[in-house]
Amino acid sequence: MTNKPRSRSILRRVRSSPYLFILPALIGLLVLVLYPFAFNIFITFTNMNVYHIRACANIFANVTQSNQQHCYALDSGVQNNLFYNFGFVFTDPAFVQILENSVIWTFTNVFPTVGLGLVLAFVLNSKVKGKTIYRMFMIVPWAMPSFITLLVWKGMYNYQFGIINSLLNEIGIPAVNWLNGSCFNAFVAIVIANIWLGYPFMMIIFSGALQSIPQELYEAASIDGAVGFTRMRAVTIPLIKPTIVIALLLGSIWTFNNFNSAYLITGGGPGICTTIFITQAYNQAFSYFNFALAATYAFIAFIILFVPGFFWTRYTGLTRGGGS
Amino acid sequence: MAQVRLEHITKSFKSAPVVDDVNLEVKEGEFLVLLGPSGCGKTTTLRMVAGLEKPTKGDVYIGDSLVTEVEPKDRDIAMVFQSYALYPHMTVHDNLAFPLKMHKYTKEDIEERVTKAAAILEIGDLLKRRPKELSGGQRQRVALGRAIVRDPKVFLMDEPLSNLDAKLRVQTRVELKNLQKRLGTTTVYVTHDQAEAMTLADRVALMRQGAIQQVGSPTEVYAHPANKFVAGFLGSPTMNFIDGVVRRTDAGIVFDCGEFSFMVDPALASAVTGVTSRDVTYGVRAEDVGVGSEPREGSVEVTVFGSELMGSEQFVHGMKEKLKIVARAPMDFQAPIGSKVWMDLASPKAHLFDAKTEKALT
Amino acid sequence: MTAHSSTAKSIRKLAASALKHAFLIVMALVSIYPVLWVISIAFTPGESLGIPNLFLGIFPIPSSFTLEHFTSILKLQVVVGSNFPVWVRNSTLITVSSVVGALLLTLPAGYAFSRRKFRGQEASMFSFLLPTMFPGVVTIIPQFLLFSTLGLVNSYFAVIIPYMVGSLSLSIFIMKSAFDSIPREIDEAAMIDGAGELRIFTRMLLPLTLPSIATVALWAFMGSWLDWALAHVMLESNSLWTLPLALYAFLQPNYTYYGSFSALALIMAIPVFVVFVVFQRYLVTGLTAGSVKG
Repeated sequence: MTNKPRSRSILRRVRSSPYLFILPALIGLLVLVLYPFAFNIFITFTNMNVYHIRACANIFANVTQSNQQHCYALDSGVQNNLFYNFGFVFTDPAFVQILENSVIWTFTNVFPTVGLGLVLAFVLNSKVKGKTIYRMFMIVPWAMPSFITLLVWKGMYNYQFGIINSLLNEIGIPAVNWLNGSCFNAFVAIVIANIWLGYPFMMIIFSGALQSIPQELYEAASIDGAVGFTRMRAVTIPLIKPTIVIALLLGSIWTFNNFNSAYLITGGGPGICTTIFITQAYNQAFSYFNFALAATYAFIAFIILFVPGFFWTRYTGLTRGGGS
Repeated sequence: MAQVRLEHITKSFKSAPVVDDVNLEVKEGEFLVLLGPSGCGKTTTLRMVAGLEKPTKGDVYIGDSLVTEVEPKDRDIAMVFQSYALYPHMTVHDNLAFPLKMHKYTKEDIEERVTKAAAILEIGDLLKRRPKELSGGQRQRVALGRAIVRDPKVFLMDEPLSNLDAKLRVQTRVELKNLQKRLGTTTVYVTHDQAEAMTLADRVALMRQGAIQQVGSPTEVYAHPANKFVAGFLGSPTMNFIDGVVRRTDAGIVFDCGEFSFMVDPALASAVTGVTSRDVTYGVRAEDVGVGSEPREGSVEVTVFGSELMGSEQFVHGMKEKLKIVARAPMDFQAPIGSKVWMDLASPKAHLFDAKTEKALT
Repeated sequence: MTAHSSTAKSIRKLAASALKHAFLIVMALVSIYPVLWVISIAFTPGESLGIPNLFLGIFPIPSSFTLEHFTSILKLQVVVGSNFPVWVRNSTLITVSSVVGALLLTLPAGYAFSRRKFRGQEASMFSFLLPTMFPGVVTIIPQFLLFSTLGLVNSYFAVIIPYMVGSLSLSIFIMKSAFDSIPREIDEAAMIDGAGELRIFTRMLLPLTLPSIATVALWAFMGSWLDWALAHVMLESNSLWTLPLALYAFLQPNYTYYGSFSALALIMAIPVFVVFVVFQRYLVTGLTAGSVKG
């Protein structure tokens, strides 16, 4: 070991410190995520609405000299109770239903989406001709703006003119009132559409994971006697377990907070059949311009996701670091 | 009975054959080494025995059965890969047990075999670890263990020692040879290291550009190479090759390379038949070249340009005009750089190769 | 020399192959079907949703064929009064910067989480999951306020930075996983050979994790290319409009321009396919590095 001057080795240490590597990402996280998060928690205790926001923007743009307090929505004498919003949400008779809907929505979406993505990844990873072309077709749902494709789904579910009902008629099944009939029908309708949106991405993720398995392991397995499904069970799937874990976790989180499918096709109806937390938050925020209430719904949704998410992450060792 | 038989095995990608009409028989219990430079087709040949590649033409027999169309898992073989290919998500124990589980052995049987294999390879206390916690040498033994648990008809090994450091490699070589003799399993082994081949093999099959050059015991191929390639590939330092002409005279056969000429050793001369004059390459190993500080009948004067001191002996590198010759000498032989020494190339152990075909004339 | 004739095994192989293809064909049709409607609308004259002819009873074919929506978009005669080249320029610059930025943030972070041990590691990794638990809609408003304060609203930065950070959640996990899957020996061997850490990173780890890097890039690309909500809030001037903004502008409160909307949506989907095809090569390596020797 040469005798380097002290200062140089300290500089080296700093330059290759792991904290430096994650610093940009963490700063971005702090500023763009944690701050809004804190802000959000803050406004759940207020009654912030659109007027406050406009005032705020104006203040910062130096357009008006309004009261700064007005900007932080602390001006209203309407609520004496800090937890007014929470009370409102929890005493809402629709709350339980929305909770139920959200949970069922999540589970009925995540497993088929991940499963389908996994199957597709396996099939497209095996010896089959025309892989590239098939893949191109498979990512179409993901590549198109979901706004338009979901509107198309909505049209397909139309009771009188929709293509799905006319196809069912052709094979002798009576038309189903998808969107305005029973709760169950509406739910099935949006789940199917959402799975359609979701499996391409899962397929891509799992394809990547499968690619990273060295060919030699497959060869050793074929000599050891593991082929086909046995090999999948004993060798392949254990090796992509981390990917499956993260796919399930993030898939659940995204689905829970997935706004488009639940809103665009049924608008949350019939009644509140297909309303989930995020659509309710949206309603409050953009129909009633009550941002505080919207933030409250969002915060509750966050807690619902955070608690199981935390334990799931711990249990599966997802965040266990490397170290050299 | 031949345990492994390859008949007219050919493998081509597009139009160029990677393995070209290989015929080979491995006897039961034999340790056969496929030896050759990178790209010579030895690994592809091994993989065809394993069933990991399908031959374009030809047949593979294991035992007495035709296995060309049979899946690897049904060939009763085991393979050790260069990078070991251990299952990273399984413990050592499960890695060893895996092939047995797949072939539906009973639990008791599996435990017995795993314990036995672990004992033989001295990895018994590693059974609960995962591959990433093991050293290179330990992983190598686990890979070997996975091969021996099933007691297959044939072991196939693809340069299994090349990832080990030099000292460990030499040590493991010897252990491997002992293990094979102990188990008596037919083994086909691929390597590019000629010293490794010489140590391990009962017979060596040298390959070059997809074709077998020569098959024989180590001593056989060393002492009687069938062509220039085999002669040059085996042995360290490489055999001396000199291009020239041989002429038959009344006194015997004279080798003339332009810069000098000498009488070929009578034993060698008698082996060369027929021709009176011919273009040849003369080959003689360093250990068969005599070297002295005084001129002698038939010796060549060279200028020393280097010497390798090996400890127990030395190799003197001499040069005459553009020709370079290496000779073995005892440690105390004085050969400073720039000095003149005389090398005696005539040896009964020398070889003559046809200049064009490179085939041995002896 | 025996001939390699087909056996029962070949028939089984054929059946398996047929099954795979049947499944893939069904999935491909299902995947593309709704988009066929979008295509049909895009080529149908008029802006309202007509009922097209149905080929074979299921495939929509426009009753009359026109290119008017495409030409009007591309010829700058759009109802919302801005221009296509500007939208493309903005979207492209923003998206490319977001992808590059996302990679710059993700790759070192993934490396640190995989190859180093440090305090707060698990906590910081978990905190990258937090943004996903938060519905995007509600983060936009505080972000708007923040950028207003900094005077960055109505600039490229206002969207690029959030896009970069937005894709981090998944990306960091993907990269950490990818780096984890490369055995340490490779690092060590390179270190012994004299390579410094940076060189190990760029010459060894990155090439071996290309599929994951491609996935991360694709993910960042999609998050930026198709985003409407954030862009709508942050970018006000017409000259900064991105393609999604133009797209949703066709959804006026009183009238929806379905024809133009569909056409633009299709045009926007083309680069996605192009990017995907380009990335295919990296997404589908054979990872034969090291497994094939001479």
